[in-house]
Amino acid sequence: MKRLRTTFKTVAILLFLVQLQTSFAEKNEQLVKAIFLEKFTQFIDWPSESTIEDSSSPFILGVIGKNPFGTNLEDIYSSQKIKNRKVEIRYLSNIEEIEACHLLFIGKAKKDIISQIISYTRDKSILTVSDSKGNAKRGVCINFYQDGEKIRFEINQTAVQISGFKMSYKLLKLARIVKPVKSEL
Amino acid sequence: MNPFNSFSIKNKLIAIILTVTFLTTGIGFALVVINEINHMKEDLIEKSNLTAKMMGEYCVAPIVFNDVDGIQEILKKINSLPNVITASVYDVNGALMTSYRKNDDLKIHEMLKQNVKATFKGDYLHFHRSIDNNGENIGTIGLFVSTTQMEKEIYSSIQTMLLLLACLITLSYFLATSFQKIISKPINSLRMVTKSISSSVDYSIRATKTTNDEIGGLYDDFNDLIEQIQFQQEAKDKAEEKLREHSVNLENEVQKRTIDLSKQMEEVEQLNQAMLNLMEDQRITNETLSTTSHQLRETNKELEAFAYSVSHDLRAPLRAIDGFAEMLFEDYGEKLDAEGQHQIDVIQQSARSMGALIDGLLKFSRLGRKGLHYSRIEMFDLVKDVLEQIKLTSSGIKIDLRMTDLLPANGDRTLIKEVLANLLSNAVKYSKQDDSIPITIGSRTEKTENVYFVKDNGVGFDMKYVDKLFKVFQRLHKPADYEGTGIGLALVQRIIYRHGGRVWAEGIVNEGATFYFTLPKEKDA
Repeated sequence: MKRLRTTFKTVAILLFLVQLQTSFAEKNEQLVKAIFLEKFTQFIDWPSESTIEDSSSPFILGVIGKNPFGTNLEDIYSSQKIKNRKVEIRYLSNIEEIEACHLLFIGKAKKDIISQIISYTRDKSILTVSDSKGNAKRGVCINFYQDGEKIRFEINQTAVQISGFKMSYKLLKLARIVKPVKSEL
Repeated sequence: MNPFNSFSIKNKLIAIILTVTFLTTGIGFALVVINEINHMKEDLIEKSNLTAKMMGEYCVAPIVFNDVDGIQEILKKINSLPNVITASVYDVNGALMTSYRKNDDLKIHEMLKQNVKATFKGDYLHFHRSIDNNGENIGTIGLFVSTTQMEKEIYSSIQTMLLLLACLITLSYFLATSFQKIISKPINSLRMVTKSISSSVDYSIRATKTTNDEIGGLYDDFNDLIEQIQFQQEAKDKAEEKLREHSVNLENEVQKRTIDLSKQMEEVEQLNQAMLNLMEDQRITNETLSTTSHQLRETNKELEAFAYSVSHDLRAPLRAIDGFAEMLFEDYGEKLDAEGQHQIDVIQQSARSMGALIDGLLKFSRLGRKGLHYSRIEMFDLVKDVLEQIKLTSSGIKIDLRMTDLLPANGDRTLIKEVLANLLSNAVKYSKQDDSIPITIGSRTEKTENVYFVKDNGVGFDMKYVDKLFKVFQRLHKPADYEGTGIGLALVQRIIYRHGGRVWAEGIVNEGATFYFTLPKEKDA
């Protein structure tokens, strides 16, 4: 319990600091992105056949490529649950390790590696997030981008659909849609 | 008084129908309007709820990602909703995140308290709805919705209702005007019948029933009543007719009686007048009479004085004639023959007779002057005394006296004795000279006087001449047959009159006479 309280305090202080130092965008930006990861999951339903249904198992958050968050993820998700489950953060180095992940943040990497990863996760119910320009087009589900001082994101609707996710229109409304799914109607 | 009571039935019915229609329809319409207002409010709330829900949904992601600009973009969508004036979004703690106003004059309203979802305030509906994401509250959206449109609709609805109400009232007025006749017409016609009965006083009129309801019953009752009245009226008329006849008869009778009475009055008046005249006459007569009586009294007195002096003066020469005739007979009787002696005897007898006459006249005339000396008289004794004297003067007479107890009298003893002497001597004188003379003397008492009578069986008299009996020198018989002066009964009458009594006689020729006299009872001396 003491540890938990200490963690809360730490988070609170951190958030406080983040808010104070908005001009110091760089650090702040990474924190916001880390927080956004969980927010995305609020609007997305994993396919029923995925392992996400087992509530006793943890939500596995994988990071591949260069980790931009520092310790932000641990700071946040040691207490914050995702999809009502404990979060297990995994820093991956092999593509094979990706399979267990529910959410995969793709850090800065070479384009061919990214393509590799994308093609690997393409038909799997793994939500891919990145913050590199053009990644959405390449096939990453959600991709951060900078709009002035604001952090925004773009969504590859087709990729999301192929992965079998059901994404809320609410999220879609907020995002810049890349490769939209043409309505059949 | 309630002015409603002065309405005619027609107007009452119309008023009632209109009032009922107005009230029911009005209440109904009011309820409809209230219901509609409630519906509109609910509708507005529902619409606001939908708007809030929709906008809230859109706001979920911006809220989650703390994207105020995103929220603002969404709130701007109220521009397409004319009624929504402002929209605001609050965070979980109720702090305002952002808001959008169509009109800058409007203040941003504070978030409503918990569990208050909607409230109408002024021209606006304040509406709040929580924004949830996956069952978790992440904020609140608040709307400021103008109710002007709704009010307009309500007013227009009320106007429609009022117009409809006016139409219905007008319609029901016309319907009431035509339907009220069902009730008012029979009542009015009954009233007309009543009026015509009361104005014509013809109770044979009947109301014709047209309905079988209470009014029809009223008609029947009315007809029954009129029939009873008619019956009574006829009876009354008959009675009045009789009464009138009676009164006419009575009037005639009274008139007749009055005429009779006035006639009688006239007669009485005449009688009165006659009586007055009579009284006047009587007065005059009385006056004359009293004068005459006075003169008479004077004459009487003179006459009495004359008679007395004459009688007195006549006695002296008579005595001289008698005395000298006596002396002549004594001195020269022997010288005279029988014829001469007889003539002297005649002279003497005539002189004595004349003396007796003069005595009687003296007594009679004295009676007028002498006062009466009253005393109690035992008539029985007095009669005996008188009879003794008569027997003395007339020798050889037998008297058969039948006398009951005589009532005592009150009077002048000397005068009453004179009366008895006259009556008794008359009775003896006029009786047949048989062996005894029957004389009856009696008395009886009456109210104020005692009646005495002397009855004989003598020659009697004819009642034709009864008036002459008691007058001076009046004689019913020849002086040759019966001697007497002709003064006796006149004297008797005079004495009795002076005592205040009466004298009368009854007689039958050759059978006898009865002389009555009365004396007042207890006359004070």
